[in-house]
This record gives sequence, C-alpha cells and structure tokens, in this order.
Amino acid sequence: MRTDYIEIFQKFMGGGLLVVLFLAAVIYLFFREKRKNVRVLFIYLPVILLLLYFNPLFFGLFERIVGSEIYFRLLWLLPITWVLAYTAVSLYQSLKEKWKLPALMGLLLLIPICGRLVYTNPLFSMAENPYHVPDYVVEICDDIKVEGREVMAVFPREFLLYVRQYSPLVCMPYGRDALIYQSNSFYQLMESERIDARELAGYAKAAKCHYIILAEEKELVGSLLDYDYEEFNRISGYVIYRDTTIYIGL
Amino acid sequence: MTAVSLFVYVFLQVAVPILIGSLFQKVYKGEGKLLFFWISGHMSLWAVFQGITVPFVLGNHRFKHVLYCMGIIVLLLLLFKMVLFIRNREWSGLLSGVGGIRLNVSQEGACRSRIVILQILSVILLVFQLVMTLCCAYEEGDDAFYLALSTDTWDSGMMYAKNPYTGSTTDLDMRHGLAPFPMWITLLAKISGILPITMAQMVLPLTLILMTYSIHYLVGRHLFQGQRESFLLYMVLVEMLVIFGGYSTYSVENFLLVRASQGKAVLCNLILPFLMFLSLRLVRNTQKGKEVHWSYWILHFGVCVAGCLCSTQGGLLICILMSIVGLCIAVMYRKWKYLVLFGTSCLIPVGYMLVYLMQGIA
Repeated sequence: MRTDYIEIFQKFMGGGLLVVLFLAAVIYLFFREKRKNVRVLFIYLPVILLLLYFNPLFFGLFERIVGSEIYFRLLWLLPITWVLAYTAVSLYQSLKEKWKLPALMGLLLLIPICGRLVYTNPLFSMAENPYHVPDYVVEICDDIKVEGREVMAVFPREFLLYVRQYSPLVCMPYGRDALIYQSNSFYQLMESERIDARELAGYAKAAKCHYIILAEEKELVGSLLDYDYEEFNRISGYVIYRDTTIYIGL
Repeated sequence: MTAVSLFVYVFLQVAVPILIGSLFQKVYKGEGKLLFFWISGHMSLWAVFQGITVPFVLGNHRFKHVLYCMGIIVLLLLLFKMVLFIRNREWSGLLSGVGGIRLNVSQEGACRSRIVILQILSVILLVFQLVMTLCCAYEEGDDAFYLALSTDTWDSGMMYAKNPYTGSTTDLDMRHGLAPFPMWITLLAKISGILPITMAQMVLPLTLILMTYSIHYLVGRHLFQGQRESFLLYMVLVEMLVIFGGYSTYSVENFLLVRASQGKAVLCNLILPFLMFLSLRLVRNTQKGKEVHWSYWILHFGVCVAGCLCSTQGGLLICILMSIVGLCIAVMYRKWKYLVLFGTSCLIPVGYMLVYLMQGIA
C-alpha cells in the first residue's frame, strides 16, 4: 500500500513531539542560519531526504528491491538530535544574560516532556550477571552441557532468546524463529497450559532432545518417567528431564 | 574477565585505533584531535576487517584465517605509523590532541557558574548512561541471532555455518554474511579472552557509546568553535535527547542505548554521523576555498566500507547520504569533481549491495 510509508513515519515519530520540534527547527534554521556547511547538513539534507522518503515512486522501488520493513532506516539520515540541540543553543545564545539560567532550566525540562526515557521500556531489567541473561539460563545451561560435544535441549519460551547467546554447546529444536512465526507445533505444545507427557516425549525424541526443561508448575498429563526420562535436576523453579535412551557421554 | 583481558581490550580498542587514526592527522587539526584519531582508527580497522572477512565468509573458510590476516595488517599499519613517527618526529602532533578534551574550569564572566553546572551535568549524564549499560539488561530479540553467531564462531571457528537460533548446520546466509559485524565481536573476544556475550552485552557497548559521544563532541566543537558555554549546552542537550530518545523503538537514540553492539546500531550512531561530520568539514573547507588533504578521501572511502560491515543496507544509506551531500556541494560551489570522489567512495557499498541483490534474485 502506498500509505505504508506514512504509517512507518508515524511509528518512527512515536510520541511525535520531538520529531515535530525537529521539523520546526529545520524551518527556523532555513530562515536564520547563515553558515552554508550547517545549511547543507541541517536543512538541505533533511528536506531532500523527506521529499525522497514520501515519494511513492521511491517507496515502491525500495519496497520491491529491499522490502518495506526496513524503510524506516532512511529516517536515520535525519540529524534530529543535532538539529534540535543546535537550534536550542542558537536560540539560547540570542537571549539576554538574565534569561539564560531560566532558559537552561526550561530546556532541560522540555526534553523529558517531549521525549521518553529509554530506560522506562518494560523490557529493561537489572542485569543478574555479566552476560545480561537471566541467572536460571546460566545455571541450567551449565548443568546440562557436556564438554567437547553439543547437547540438544528443549526449553520454555523465556529461555529461547538467551540459550544460544550464552552457550554454543546447547542446541535447541527451535529458537526465536518459533516466537516470530508461531507455527511450530513442538513450541505450541511446550507453551500450552497442559502438556500431554506422551506427546511431549514423542516430539522430543523425534528432535533427538537429550533434555526437556519444564517449569515446575507446568501441568503434565501423565509422567515423562514412563517414557524413558529421568529427573536429572531441579534448578531455579525448573525441572530438567534427561532421555535415558540417548548416550551423551556422561 | 580478568585484569589482563581488560588491559588487552583497552589496548585493542584505544591505543591501536588512535595510532592508526593518527595517519589521518592532516584531515583534522581542530580541538579533540585525539578523539578524531580514535574514531578514524576504528573506522579504518572496520574497513580493513570488512575487506578481509567477507571473502573468507563467502569461501567458507575458518575464522582463524581472518584473525591471522587482521593481525598481520594491523601490525603492518602500526609499523608504518612507527616509521612515520620516527622519520617525521610526529610525537607532538599526537600529544597535542590530548589538550583538546581537557575540562577547564577557569572561565571568564558571569557565565562561569552556568559553565560549571553544564560541565558537571554533561559528565553525570554520560556516566549515567554508562552505568545503566553495565547494570541493565534488555530483552532484545535480535541478540538471539547476532550474539549467537558470535558465540558459535568463537567456539567452533566456523563462520555463518550454523543456524544461530538452533545450532543446526545451515547454508551460508548471504544477507548477514556480507555484513559480518558479529565476527568483529568474535575477534575482540578471541584476542582479549573476554567471552563474546560479555563483550557484546557489557564491554563493547561502553566503547561504542563513548565513541558516539566523541562524534557528538567533534560536531559540537565544529558548530560552536571557541564558545565554551554554547558547546557545553549543546553536549548536555544531545545527551538528554539520547536518554529521552525512547519515544520510538526505531529512533537512533533507542538503538544506541538498547542494542549498541549490533551492526545496525553502529551504522546509525557512528558511521552515518561520522560521514556527516566529515561532510561538515568538507563544506566548510570548500567555502573557505581550501582543498582537503588527499587522506580525507582515503578516510572517507574507509568509512563507507566500514558502513558495509555493519549492515547490508548500510551501503544504500551511505549512497543516499553521499548523493545528497555531494549534489549540494556540487551545485553550491560548482565543485563537480566532488561528485566523482563521492561516487568513488560509494563503489564498494554499491558493489556489496549488488552482490546481495543478485544472491536474492538467484
């Protein structure tokens, strides 16, 4: 759709205020800025770029060749931070001495109002270790790894982003791709509220999993112990089951 | 992570780039030369790394070949720099760059208190970001891909031979193989002895954030030459805008603080801004009727190649940026040869883009 680029721009704007201020700053600099090197980067570049960005022909070409999901990266060429800071300082310089301190305070308050603190994103948390992955990932991966060879293990969803970052020796039947595409039936079984032990054992053996890791509170219909699994360990609220029919060099 | 690892890392990421970057001392003679050398040195190393790594990736060679080639080339560059140092007695040129970043409290007039406030604020805001980078973890989905690539290569010695999500063997992923920034993380990890995950999540982001602010510093010095209060206010505002850049997950600022060690974050926070800074200098010199030193174009070319290391689409953004800037300069100053020079800088990025697109068609 030709209006995709408008939606992408709206997503890029987010809350909107800083980008609106940026556009206002470009207009201000157009009339007030005399230095040509500043005009090239802070006025002509944004204007030409935005004309290109909102050009339906350019968007169509870009979408066909590269894809529209990364079209927003064109907007990285807008020097938003520099233009906003430079314009604010230029305005500040034109003030009388007695107004400078209040203006300084005003500027320092304006930015938090118009922007959003990056660290308020709910995906931020305190790092539990130098790897910036949850401790339970480190503990379980260290527990199941076998030096000198790879092991295959299936994990609950909350592990999928982290296991392969931390441990190259622990493989998985599916990873983050299952989160994205949501079509992996093994993943869907692992994430269902009640898991049939027999079905789970079937999937795990087909994927040649040495280990199955489940949360302790996960409801299992039946017992994995009936399907050649043993309870290997319990760590941080997770149960590690090991397939006794596969030799892993222990 | 031991003290020795950290020392090796600091040597790799500070001393080596500064020495190599000082090869471009004729490009920039303003305040903050040391920072300019530092950034230029990194860009040069990234350009060399890109040139070495991609052929090895495409040829399914082992990572150790990249390591050896990179080591030899860096040693040769350092040797070359040492020879220049001894022959031309360039020690003063390098050391004079130190003065440019010294914080000076003795100031004139009524603005002294504001200057002190701004100096303290700028340091606090920077330290805040660095501490948050160390202490906060972010659930970033793309790390499951890129960091896993680095960790796999660090362990197995093979590049792009495994599916990073699962660990199973796979065919070469051309899209990511042409922009092997994760291999740079592996290189740093291998040489320093720091695990790739620690390197990418803690150590390298600190360096990249400091590099980004170095570029902001250089731009600020350019814009507000000799105006200390204005320069400091500019830096504080830039830091505030970065910290409060979470208004969108697509913003450049969000990428810096959330996923600093991913190639695309390096592209939008370092490569593109540094190219813009070089363009600012070029336009100013052109306006004054000065010709830039030929090493400017070598550096420019290197930065464009470094951009390809970070992202396959980096080449496209670089070409668009250079086209717009080159066109503006050519029209404003009738310097049509700059179009040719800019175009030459873009040859490698265009080449990478064509290889990427042809693979997609095939």
